[in-house]
Amino acid sequence: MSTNPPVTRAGSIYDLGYRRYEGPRLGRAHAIRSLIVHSFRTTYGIGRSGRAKAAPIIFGAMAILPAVIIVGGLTIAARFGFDRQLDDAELIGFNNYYSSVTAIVVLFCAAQAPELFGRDQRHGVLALYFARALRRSDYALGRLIGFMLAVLVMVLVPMVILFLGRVLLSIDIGRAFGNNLPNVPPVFAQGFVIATLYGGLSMAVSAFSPRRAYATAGIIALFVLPGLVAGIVIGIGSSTVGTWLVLVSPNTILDGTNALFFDRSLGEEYFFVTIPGWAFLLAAVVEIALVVGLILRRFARITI
Amino acid sequence: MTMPRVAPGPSVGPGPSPFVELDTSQPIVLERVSRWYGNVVAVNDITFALGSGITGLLGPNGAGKSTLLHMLAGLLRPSSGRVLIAGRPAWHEPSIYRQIGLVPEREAVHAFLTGRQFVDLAARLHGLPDPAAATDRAIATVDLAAAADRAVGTYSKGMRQRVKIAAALVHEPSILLLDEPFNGMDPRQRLHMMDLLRSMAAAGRTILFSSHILEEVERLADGILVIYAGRLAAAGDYREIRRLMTDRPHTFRVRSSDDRRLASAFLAEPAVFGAELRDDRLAVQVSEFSGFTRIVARVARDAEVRLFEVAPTDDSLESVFEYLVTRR
Amino acid sequence: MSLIATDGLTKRYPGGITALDGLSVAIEPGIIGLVGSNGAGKRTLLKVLLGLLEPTSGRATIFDLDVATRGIAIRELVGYMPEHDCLPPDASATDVVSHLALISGLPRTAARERTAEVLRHVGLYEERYRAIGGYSTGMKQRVKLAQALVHDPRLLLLDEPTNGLDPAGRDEMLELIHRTGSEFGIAVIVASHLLGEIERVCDHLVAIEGGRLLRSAPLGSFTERTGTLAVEVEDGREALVERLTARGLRVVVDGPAVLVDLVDETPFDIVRDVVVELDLALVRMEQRRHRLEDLFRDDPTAGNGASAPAAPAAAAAPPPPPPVAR
Repeated sequence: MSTNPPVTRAGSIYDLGYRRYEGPRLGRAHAIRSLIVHSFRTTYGIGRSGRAKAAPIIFGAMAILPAVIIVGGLTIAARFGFDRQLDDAELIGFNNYYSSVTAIVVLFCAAQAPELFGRDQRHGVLALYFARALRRSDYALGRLIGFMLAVLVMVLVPMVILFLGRVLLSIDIGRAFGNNLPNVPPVFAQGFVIATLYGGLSMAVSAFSPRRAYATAGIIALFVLPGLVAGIVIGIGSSTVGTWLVLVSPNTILDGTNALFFDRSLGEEYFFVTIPGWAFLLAAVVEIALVVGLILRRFARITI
Repeated sequence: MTMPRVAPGPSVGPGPSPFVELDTSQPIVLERVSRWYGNVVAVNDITFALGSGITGLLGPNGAGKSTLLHMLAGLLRPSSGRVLIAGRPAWHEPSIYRQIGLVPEREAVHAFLTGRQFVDLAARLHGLPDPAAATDRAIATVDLAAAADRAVGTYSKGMRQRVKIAAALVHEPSILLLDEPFNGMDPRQRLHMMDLLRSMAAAGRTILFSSHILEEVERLADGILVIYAGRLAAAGDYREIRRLMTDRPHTFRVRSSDDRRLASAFLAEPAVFGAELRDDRLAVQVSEFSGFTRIVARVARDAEVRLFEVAPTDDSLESVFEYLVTRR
Repeated sequence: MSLIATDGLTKRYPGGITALDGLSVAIEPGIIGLVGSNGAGKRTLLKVLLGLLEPTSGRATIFDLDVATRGIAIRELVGYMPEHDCLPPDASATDVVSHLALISGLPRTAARERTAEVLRHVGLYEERYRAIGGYSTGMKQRVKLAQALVHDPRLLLLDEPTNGLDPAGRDEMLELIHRTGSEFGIAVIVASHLLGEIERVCDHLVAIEGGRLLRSAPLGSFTERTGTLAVEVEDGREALVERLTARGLRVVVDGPAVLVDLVDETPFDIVRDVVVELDLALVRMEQRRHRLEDLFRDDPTAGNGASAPAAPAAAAAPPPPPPVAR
């Protein structure tokens, strides 16, 4: 009978104590990137409760709706052979899509911008950010850029749908692609201006007004009032002041840049003033710069 | 093992005993008081009486302390039982507000008022004949004269506490109820406030304060009330309460000129059932408190060992409290 | 190379309040208690050290890095637990802590892992996915501590860490702080009003008064034994006083205790023998220690002195050397 080899017993206890972190530390760029991603996700309610997703989903759906309807219409037309006519008709084209969804974008900004700066201020979270290895301006820009990206996505997705619909539903895809391609740069340019202008303005309001209701109301007022006032002022005859107001009001600026990018004119009746397209673009740039400056200053000075 | 019964009785403590037989002539009397909100029982069948002196109200968060204080102040009605202040039911009895000063825990001060205005407001609400003088006195008592004319919004937390106390004192009540009064106070302010409360108690006032800071309760209170899950877990002098916990062995810390020799001498005594030699002292476990205290000096002398230190190690309020709220 | 050093640090707020007034102090690693009368001084110091506030004048360095110019490098190495509420109620502990870990420069995987680890160390493992709004005060304090630890700082700044906690919660938090300082090997500064907890947890004390340094010394130096022996017996106190006085000791009554002046070691034996002679039950025999709060008393002798002065307060006598054990 063979003897078994001696059985050795073995056991180990692993140390579950606190471990030091010896890995890489990635610095400010990583922090800013993380903030951008976090802000984007927060704006769309990703990773948060159902309630937080409600507003983005509703507004997102409303923004896409016209595009979906158009594409649906095109599909139906294609079946019945009307597509050639529709190719040329411009019920709602790229160049005037934006103006139909302006209201939705404004509401989206008014609803979601307060979620970013407002929430952090209300709950005292700024102390936890500023005590970390990033600058105050890094924090402000990270949040701002994240929000602007979110608005950009919201504004561009319907355009993508529209583009795909027009191209893929056409009889001659190649030709349709060629026809619609020139629209792409203006669409991006205008989308970019919308995202930075609307995004920046609404974030500025929420930076100064942590209370949710006031921020939302403030944002809506900011977008609606200047245009109204401009109309009134011009109506009573003061065209100089009126002109300036038109150059300040976000909605009118966007109309102007839209016209500029799509190489159309605003028409004679546009507020009864003649303003060259580039002036609107300049106004947009100046306004965006001002707003970003205000936001940076706000967080540079805020005491926590 | 039964829960040690602590009936309200005279306590062995440093100050005048506030605990007496349930006698409705005492300033504060609770008789079988309960308070519930639907299915939630905040206070469950509590009975005690308090006289002049300082009593500490202790208990974990959510145990029912604030509810109890609000019932005593006449702001909440007991669901059952009686709350008597100076012999009369507290609820809906405007006359008792003259006799009670309540200092609640939550911020209860309008930030835009100055300290003086806030206290003056309280004085007027009480209908005092000379509100200005009463205000001055109260403000001087809490040592806020220098800052009295600044808006309360500019005060530190400790100063806000003091202004709330001033407002509660302005009508010179005989009963003072304080919910976490030392919150936010720095050490100097805290010492000052403790001296103030002691002098008021010595002058005959009945003071009940709730606190989480046991070392302060230990120093300030003549007796304690421990509330746990809405029930009264213990009442009286905490050292006396400790003695009553007979199901838990007492431990003593002893330092001497020859710990080892002393340890073996102790082990010969029936009252001692354990002696542990540690770095610089001896930890002795005894089955009966008095059994040990009676023999410790004799044993040391007979063994010719010099005693440097003898002290019960779990005699602190911290220890007593922990035992009361962690059993069952 | 001090952990922290300040030199003439001054901070004046608009409106005239001077929170720091030429504060100069050098602090070595350890578990340090920071005490001060009036909240403004301590909190301001913490904020200046973190670079959250600019001083009016003076300098400060942490790990030899100048606070004014190397703020970012400093904050990489420091964790901060604020006193005020600072957590969003609709996020979970894991969400908040891992997000902040990313901001502190940890790569995504490391951030997730360390978040889980750190939440376990602070005792929050089971509840870590629930929304913070539903947490008790104790749990929220733990989350605050976790976010300060997640990036493995070399220095922790804790502002009133036991604020709002009940005795059990305070106990656990103090235990955690002590472990962090001694086992985890991280330097800790605890700013607190509660001298008892500082006595319990810290090994060094920095006391600020009116924006200036009052004392900076090891804790032991504040809690040395005095020259007073406190004796408590169950009954027969009067007889004890009488007999001890008859034996030539200076004796004073303080509440339940009898205080004996210690000029040398003979009183120990005298007390022991008198207790045996009178057949008394000896509850306590202990040399009184100074307490931290004596620093803040206007009258330094009042803390350990007598309330019924039959003889002058005993604290004035020089303390005998601590008795040698065994």
